[in-house]
Amino acid sequence: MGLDVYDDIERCMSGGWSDGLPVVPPYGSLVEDMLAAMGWGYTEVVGSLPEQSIEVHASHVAAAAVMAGCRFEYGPLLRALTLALLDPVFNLTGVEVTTGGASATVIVSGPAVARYGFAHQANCLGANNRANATVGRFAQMVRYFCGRGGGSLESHGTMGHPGRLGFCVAEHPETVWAPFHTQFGLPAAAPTVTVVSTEGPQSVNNHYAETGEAVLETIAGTLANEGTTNFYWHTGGYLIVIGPEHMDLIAREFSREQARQFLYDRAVRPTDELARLGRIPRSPRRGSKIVPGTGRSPVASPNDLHFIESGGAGGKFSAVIPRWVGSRAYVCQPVSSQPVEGRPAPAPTQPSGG
Amino acid sequence: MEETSAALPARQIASCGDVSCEMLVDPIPRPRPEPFTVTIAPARQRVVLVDNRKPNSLTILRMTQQVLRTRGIDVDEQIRRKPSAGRPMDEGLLAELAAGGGLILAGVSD
Repeated sequence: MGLDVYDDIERCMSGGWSDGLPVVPPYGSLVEDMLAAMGWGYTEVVGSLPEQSIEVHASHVAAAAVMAGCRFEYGPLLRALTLALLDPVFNLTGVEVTTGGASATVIVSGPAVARYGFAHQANCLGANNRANATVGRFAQMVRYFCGRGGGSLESHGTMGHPGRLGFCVAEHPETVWAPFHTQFGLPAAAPTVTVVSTEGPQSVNNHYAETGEAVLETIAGTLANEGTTNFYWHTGGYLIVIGPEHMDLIAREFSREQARQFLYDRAVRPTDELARLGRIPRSPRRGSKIVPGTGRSPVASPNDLHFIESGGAGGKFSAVIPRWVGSRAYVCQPVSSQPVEGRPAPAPTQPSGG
Repeated sequence: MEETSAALPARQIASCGDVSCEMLVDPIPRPRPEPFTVTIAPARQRVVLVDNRKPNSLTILRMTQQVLRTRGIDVDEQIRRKPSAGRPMDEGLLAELAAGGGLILAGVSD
């Protein structure tokens, strides 16, 4: 790297063109190749955020993709991801400003996982892998640049979480249950990218369970911890990441639908206890369906629970990712299999000796 | 003040070498709002409260209503409500508030 590039990185940092980490400077030639890979023209409008009077042009997202360090080969996936992020249902503006400190979390499933080289085994929620790290970072950059970066909003996340720098999860290419995206009506064979707004993940550890039921009870306990945001609001849900060793046990006893219903039935805490702790206000709003003397689930329906199979083979862990309560949607987009234009990736270089 | 909130991002950044410069491509879409009129004083001397559905918003607004009334300020009995804390006010409510002409108090929470 020449000193000029280093200077340009510093210019981007000091000019506010950054998510807090150093970026690849968005040189015009790189952005042009990324635009070609995404299949868009420079000034094409790819989405709008009317509540902020913002039109998002292809050049904005292509520049962000370059800055995040994405390879040109990711173009079709980045195009699909951009459309998902800017879908009004996703509520990108709300994700940026909420006190809930949510991230735009990316889920890759089906043939897209192998095609682009996403890591889906060890450290699946924090993989040190080019595809996971840069695609996850791209989504957060778009969120940030369309919100606070544009100067019309303030981020108000009280705590936030590390995923606001990058949060991308890939599912195993071969799954025990049907692939993740089939929960939203897409065919199993579809290469898919999905975006959902979430809080940070919570680990679920159970190394001594001998049944799937015991594992699911443990997950239910994590879903129903007193601090979980959704106990009162009931507008959110949970993404449950099942590790391979837990999946072996669960799949012997449960289909996906049965597991969903089991968790809904078992993830319950006494309403009166939640009220005593202050998790439910003294005067609940109409429609909140607070019934003293009964149990309360952190979700309104079993349909607010979704599963993804991911993680390394060693260790009996799973994870629970609470969705942000301000957006109900998983926005799924199939990824085109069209070949990518743009410059080829340079051949890998060997480290020099000495 | 935090470093990241000190200033708006640059609109242009140039990469300059010894003999030439290249503009870097701006990654940030900028708001382009339609022209709007600012009213310094409300047309009606009345306060209208809007609950944004954040935690404790309604409780705070009800107390505000009482306090303002004890000070002799006219406050609408009805507290309007946004459909969702996570989304902007809808057009219908916005138009109703604009037509009402009072002083709108919104965005109270936590």
